[in-house]
Amino acid sequence: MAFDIDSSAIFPIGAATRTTPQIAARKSYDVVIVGGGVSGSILADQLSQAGHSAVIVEAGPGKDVQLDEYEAYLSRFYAASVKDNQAPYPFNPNARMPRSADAMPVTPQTPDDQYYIVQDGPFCTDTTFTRVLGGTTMHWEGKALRMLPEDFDTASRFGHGRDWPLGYDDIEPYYRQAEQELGVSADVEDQRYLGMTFPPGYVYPMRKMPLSYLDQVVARGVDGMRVDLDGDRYDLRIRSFPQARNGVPNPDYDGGKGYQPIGAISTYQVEEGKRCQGNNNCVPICPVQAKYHAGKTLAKALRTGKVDIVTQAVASRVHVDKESGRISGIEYKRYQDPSSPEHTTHTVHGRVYVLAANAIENARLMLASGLPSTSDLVGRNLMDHAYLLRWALLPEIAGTFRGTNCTGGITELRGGRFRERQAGFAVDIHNDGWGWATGSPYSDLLAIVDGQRKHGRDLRAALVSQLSRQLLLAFMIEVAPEPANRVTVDRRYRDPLGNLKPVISFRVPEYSLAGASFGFDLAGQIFTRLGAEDHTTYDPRDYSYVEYAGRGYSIRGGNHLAGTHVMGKTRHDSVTDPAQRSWDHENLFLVGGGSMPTIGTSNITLTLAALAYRSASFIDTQLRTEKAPAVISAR
Amino acid sequence: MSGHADLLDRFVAFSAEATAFSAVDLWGTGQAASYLATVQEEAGDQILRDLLEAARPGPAGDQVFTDEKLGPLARNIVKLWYSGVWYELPPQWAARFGAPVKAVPAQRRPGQHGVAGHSLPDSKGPLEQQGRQRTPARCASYVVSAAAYTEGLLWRAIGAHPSGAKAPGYGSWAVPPEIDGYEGDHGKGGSR
Repeated sequence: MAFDIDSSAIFPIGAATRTTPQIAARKSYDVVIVGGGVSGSILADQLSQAGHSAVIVEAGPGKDVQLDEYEAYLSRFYAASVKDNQAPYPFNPNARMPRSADAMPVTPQTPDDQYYIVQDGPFCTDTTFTRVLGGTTMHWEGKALRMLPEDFDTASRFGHGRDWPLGYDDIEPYYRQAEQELGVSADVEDQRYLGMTFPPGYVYPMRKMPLSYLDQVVARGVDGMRVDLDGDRYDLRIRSFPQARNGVPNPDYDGGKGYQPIGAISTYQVEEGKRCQGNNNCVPICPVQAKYHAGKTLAKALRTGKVDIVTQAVASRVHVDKESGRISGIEYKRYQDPSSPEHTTHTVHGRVYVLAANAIENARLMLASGLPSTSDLVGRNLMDHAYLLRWALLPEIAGTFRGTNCTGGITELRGGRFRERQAGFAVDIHNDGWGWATGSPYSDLLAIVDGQRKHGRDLRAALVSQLSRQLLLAFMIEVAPEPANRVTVDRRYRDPLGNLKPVISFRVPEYSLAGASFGFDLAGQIFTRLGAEDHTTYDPRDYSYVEYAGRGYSIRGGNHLAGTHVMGKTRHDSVTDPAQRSWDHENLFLVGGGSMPTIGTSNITLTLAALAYRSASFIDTQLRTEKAPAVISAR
Repeated sequence: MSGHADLLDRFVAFSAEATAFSAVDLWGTGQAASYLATVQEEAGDQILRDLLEAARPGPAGDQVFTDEKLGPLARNIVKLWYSGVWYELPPQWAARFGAPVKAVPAQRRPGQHGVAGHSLPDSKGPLEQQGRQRTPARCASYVVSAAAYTEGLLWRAIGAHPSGAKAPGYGSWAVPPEIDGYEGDHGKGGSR
């Protein structure tokens, strides 16, 4: 359905509330989608535009997406004493969100089995995902890197990870579709490295974001730095990252048609968010919605009139017809009040079912439904990028704490022959200083006022000296899939609605730690070239502390969850086919990061969005060709 | 005994000395009355008056920042203006100098680092469940209000802005920072 470009940010009034569980239960939809995040929204949009009806079952609360609701998130963030990546979003025990500070071992004996993720160890991940309408794209940073061509067959090429059943060229057209929907700002000239190709004449929707002054200061030391590794030579330089954030539209986009950025979403016209303002707050919430979030796609889907949503509805069981193996319904628990566990149970029916609830939740739901798959790979191969942080003070004022969270970094060491031995990585320069590592700038304020007893002019000078010179390098390190890294469920651990909670067993693979060790040393060399004073320390009491080759590191999670329902070529070694269709249940699609056999050194959202576009065409075809009527249960 | 308006003026005058931001700047934040009320509620009225009495402009007045009794309160006022956060006063200090005694939740656990954001004690339990922004008896340190956060002086002092508010505009991050009144040894932005 075509729509007026001027109305492209309008959320249709009443769209999020027009369906009740009772109404939804009486209907038979073409598609039932679990999860109102980026994958679910793209599929709802694509399939409804193709004429199919859909219902989205969303665990989190959600009314119509309104500017005032979004701004309530912002106010909650301002007033929150812990400004982590979930700070804007209301506490909701019925659809509890993991928080980075929750990383602690949990055993049946642990008195406070109080967090959502049950950590079975040995490593405690501080990974998170967001359970509100829009999903984790509400808090994501917005980096939109494509995967490298060599990332799709790392097992054959380097002897690590798993090969995809698809290659870069298969996904490339869908990358372009995702870059359009997410609104990516980048220059092709900057992104044509390590084999990444673009069709002739392609430009990104918007021009690249300018590098921060901090990036430019760091570039003076890094540009031209030479690294020799396993016979390959790398000449490092600071390069801008592609970002799903509104910048300056490129007039050459789409054969000269240009690009219209989508700003803030509301039921009424809002002139906001069509260009990034430099709020330095991409995570946990962009105040003006210049950063893409799935609400933008969802609004488009709802304008078709063919998509229903049931919110405050936590999917609890996937029903299977034993004879055919086909999915016959999705059961969910609906709560009226987030602070009360009282709920009612309902089932929705459709012809095709899509689980789009992120890699941990998709696996949790399948396992809680007793569906580990023929391959026994549901929940296994859990991946998330391992982050190593190293931080220093530059010898000069670099204007830290300005810009988007990250504008530039080092990407040359994402690929090469060294990946036979150690993981690749991308390096972020954090425009928000040491915050992730130390709690800056608050920790510095306390140290200067209470520790050094400074006030007045001395305090102001000390703050400038201590904060405006901060440099934090974050190494986003590849983590290869390992079957033992997994999500399971355990009947001893349930949420207030009685749903089984995810239990995570994880260790950081040695391959990744070898990359971390190399990155640690590289950061040291960069600091030396810049004349920067190293301040890095890792606390052995940290639950995310790991030792490798005689040194210890704190490893942070990237919230790039993947691998728990890998795609592959056969039902015996994978959970889904290359279309993300379950091998065992022909009318079930498991979509999102969980289908990715490897994650390389790309933040996963752009790739999983591309995969959602690709799956949409298969689901459309299946709905058109499949003659079998929906199986309706007797309830 | 001074009236409330006079007390507020004296509070702002002291705060200007303590923060090195002008009284005009401080009034301009719109937070003065709220901060005064916070200090009175958390520390008590008498000790605040003692502080304002002792804090005379000049080197002698500086001693209040290191004073055993007045120092923690003076420093808390500085932190309040800079961050919008009321930090928990040391319990021993509170017990000794007669400030209101509060039930203080224990720190959650040792070794907790890397919380994206900052290092204040976690408050997501009963506080957020009840949807209340300010429950001093339950939360040792807290952001006084959403506006207090966005008016923090910390970011102005470094030529930046509080993350998520008062955005400087597209591309502003690509040029050196403009840091008002900075007389440190590194010059005004740029390289040496």
